[in-house]
Amino acid sequence: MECKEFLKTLCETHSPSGREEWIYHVIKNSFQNFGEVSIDNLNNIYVHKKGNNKGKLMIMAHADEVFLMVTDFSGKGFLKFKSNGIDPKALVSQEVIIHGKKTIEGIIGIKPPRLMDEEEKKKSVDIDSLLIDTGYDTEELRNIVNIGDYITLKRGFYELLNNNVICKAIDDRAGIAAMYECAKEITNIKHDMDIYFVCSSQEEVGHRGAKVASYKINPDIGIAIDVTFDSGNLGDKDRENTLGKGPVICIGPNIHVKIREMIMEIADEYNIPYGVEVEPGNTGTDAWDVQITREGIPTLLISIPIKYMHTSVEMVNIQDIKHTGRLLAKFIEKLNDAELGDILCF
Amino acid sequence: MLLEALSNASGVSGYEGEVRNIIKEEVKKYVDEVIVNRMGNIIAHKKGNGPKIIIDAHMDEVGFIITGYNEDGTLRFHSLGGINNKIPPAKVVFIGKNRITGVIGIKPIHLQNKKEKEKCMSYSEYCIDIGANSKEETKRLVKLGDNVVFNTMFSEFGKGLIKGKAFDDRIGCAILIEVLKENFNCDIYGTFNVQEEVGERGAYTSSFAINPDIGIVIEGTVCADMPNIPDYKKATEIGKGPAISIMDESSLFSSQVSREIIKIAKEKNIPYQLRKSIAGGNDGGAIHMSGKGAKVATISVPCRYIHSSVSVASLEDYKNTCNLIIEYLKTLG
Amino acid sequence: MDKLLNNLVNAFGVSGSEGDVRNIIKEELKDIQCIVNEDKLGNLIVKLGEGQEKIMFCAHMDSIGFIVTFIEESGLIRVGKIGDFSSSDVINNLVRFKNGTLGKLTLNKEQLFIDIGVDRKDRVMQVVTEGDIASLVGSCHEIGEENIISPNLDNRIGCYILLRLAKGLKNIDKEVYFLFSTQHELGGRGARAAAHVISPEYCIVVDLEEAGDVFGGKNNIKLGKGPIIKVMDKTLIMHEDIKKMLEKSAEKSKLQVQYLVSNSKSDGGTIHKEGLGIKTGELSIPCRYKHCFSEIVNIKDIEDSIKLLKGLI
Repeated sequence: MECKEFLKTLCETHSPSGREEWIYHVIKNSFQNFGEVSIDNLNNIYVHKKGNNKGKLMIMAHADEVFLMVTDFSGKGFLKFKSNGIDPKALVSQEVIIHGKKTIEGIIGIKPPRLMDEEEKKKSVDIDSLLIDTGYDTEELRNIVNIGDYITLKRGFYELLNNNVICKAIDDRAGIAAMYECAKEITNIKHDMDIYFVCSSQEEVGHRGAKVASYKINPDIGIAIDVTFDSGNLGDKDRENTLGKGPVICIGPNIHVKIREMIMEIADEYNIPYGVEVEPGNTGTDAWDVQITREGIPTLLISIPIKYMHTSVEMVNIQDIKHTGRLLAKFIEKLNDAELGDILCF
Repeated sequence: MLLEALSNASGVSGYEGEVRNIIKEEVKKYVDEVIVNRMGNIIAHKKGNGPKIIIDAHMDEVGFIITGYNEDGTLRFHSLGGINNKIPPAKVVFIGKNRITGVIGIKPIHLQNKKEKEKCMSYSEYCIDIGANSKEETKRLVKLGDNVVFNTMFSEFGKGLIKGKAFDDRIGCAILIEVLKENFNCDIYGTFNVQEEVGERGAYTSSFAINPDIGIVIEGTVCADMPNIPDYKKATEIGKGPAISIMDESSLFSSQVSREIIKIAKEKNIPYQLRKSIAGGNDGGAIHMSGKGAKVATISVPCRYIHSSVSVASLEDYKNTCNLIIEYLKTLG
Repeated sequence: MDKLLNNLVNAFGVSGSEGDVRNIIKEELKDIQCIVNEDKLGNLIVKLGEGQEKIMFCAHMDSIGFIVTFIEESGLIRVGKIGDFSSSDVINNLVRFKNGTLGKLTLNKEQLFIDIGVDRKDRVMQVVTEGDIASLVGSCHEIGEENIISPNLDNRIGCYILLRLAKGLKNIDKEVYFLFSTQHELGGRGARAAAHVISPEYCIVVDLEEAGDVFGGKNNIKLGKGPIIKVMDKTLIMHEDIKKMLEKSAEKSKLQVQYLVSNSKSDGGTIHKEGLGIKTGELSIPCRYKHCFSEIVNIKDIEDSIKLLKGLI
């Protein structure tokens, strides 16, 4: 399947933290030709592509997306909710999907501006004042929806200029799409490392799945693939990440120095464009929990730059996803000749 | 459903072309004469004796307009018609007649400082991103003044409700077309006006030309019946029937006409409500302030979240509004 | 009121000093066929039954408390908080040190002090030194419509429920563990260690949750309206399998349950990420004024939880 097409399928599937089994069939269908697909107690999804027992390489992208959750009924078919990761400013006038006994649609609207007093008009949107309109009456709604039901954003996939695309959940379906590109590329090469592609669970609520998956696999090297901020006008001006200029390699205490240097050399050798960003502490990704699992796992973090993170219009460049996949494939190839002991020791 | 086509069509103030074409095609089958005046209003005349009645709906919707280019290839824009500045974030839009796709994004919450988290953003801080790499690239595809609409698609919603963009006032247009299908004794002018959202502009010109006795305006109107709003602020409620206006900022509604309409509603058992707010304005203001003036009344379908990217209304309310207007007109002439 | 419950609630058991609570539990289990172990963190692990499936119930023994950081010349004792709670909810009440010394807890500009009525540092040091632990103290009463009021109901109620469950088990075809954990109030520290060793398939945590039917209440949980299926809190998303198990049992026994999405922390948070992952969820008991001096819990909610959990085994 083409990268853009696969990304569209991934993004349009709903998989909030804790219910990653909802995306299992998509992962299974697409990855099953590369290896054995399975799911664990915490909904981490594994794809095991056997090599030659040289060692274990774990590549991890998280399967969950930011979400909302029903906290109460509010009369007239409206619902109160809690947000996990989504800015209330980005929820105004949005359509959502409520996953109750059946799936229904909802709209988050706000009161007309003339009903706001001066202070309210100047202030940002307060999550407690937002309600979801379901169009049902409360009695019937109670038969469909319950407190604790999941709510995800409703957003289709759109193509913009220059291979840029937008959708919800680009964070971190772009990572999964990158793993897919890598898997495609290594199909025809003999790799000595045993590869574990992991779609980890519950990253958005605290990288919970990553700990369990790393414990289970206990790899020699762990690579986390996530998304990062761009450095445009509405991004992080302290970085130098641009959409279309390739994946971003992280440097910092969370990252194993030698492996990181190795992957940068490989990128240079194969003319794969990349950027660099520095994280002085917690990278805020699965990499943080992978690094200290069991006796420690040498960790790498490769991020795909995106715009407007955690909104329904996250933007990513398809070329960046392809380059990430390619970089991982070349790394796997190079590991055939490498002495693991040399790379991993201090 | 014709309302679906009308709701999905693009037509911000001053750029009503697509909507105008749909309506012209549809309405010519039912009336004696269809003209488009110099501002772009459609005037559909169904000849008859008796009083001259204008039935008015406006074709334009609120949207955005491109006002400038940023160095990074994104576009600056402003609202065309009143869209509150809390609405733009996280939307997909289409620009210009080529419908170029763009998004209105905002800075991720992780990067916002305390001040940014607490204050409301203004239009000068928003931009539309089409994925361009440079200002030059954007300039080749988008012109200053290009119109921008939301990507919202019409659909059924919840139980007996509908959702979509531009219910204000494609609902009025759809109802007006239904009304024009019927036959009446009086002299009916169905006016589908332009530029209501920027000051009821089109309506001045069409009413001047017609010089009516009575003007009935059909609107999609504000409905704030959410549970966290006190009753006295709700204005109208979904499901309680067509809303008859008492007053707004542009008109004090002719109590004679309004009372007659209410009488008909009671006689024919059509549910109705009063629009319990005096804020807002519509073409009624222009109609009675043009030429010799006229008696005006407004009947509206309650719509939640008007002037945003997606509104909600009731199919029952839509049908009842149609019926009420038709029944009222039957009593004239 | 049940003597066991009274003893549990009145025992001294601040995080890290759960000894007295541990002893009461051990004593109570004396006559049951089970294996009781204490681990390096002071957790009490009780094993009953044999079978294919391994299921664990967990309730924490510790309660919030205070630790002495400095003794003033005037005899006033500066203390820090053990656990996460609001000073204003507990001050101006009696507190008790492990050795029985009583005092009054007061607040001065964000700093908590204990006044034991001794006016010189050297004389204070004869009974209390830095590092000593103090707990809220009061008596346990039955009030209103079958409610219990007392300090430290959190989480002796949970321990009580587990003990009633353990004592009532017959003919078990599963390997059942009852974990009485330590240091919950400091972040599920005891529970994690025990879960690492036991590694059950399923784990149900029993704890208290704030009821919202009070002034300033932030949720719609009501006292006496049944145990709570806590779908999500700050540390744990209830596993779908556990949710179904609890709902099935509630339906079978025709018990009323409430649902909650909250901001609290659960031992389940550290348990579910151990080893290969453990399917975990928390069944909570509604508690008014949780982490205040006088907590209120409803007896029917307690009895219903015991029935509900029994239906899982």
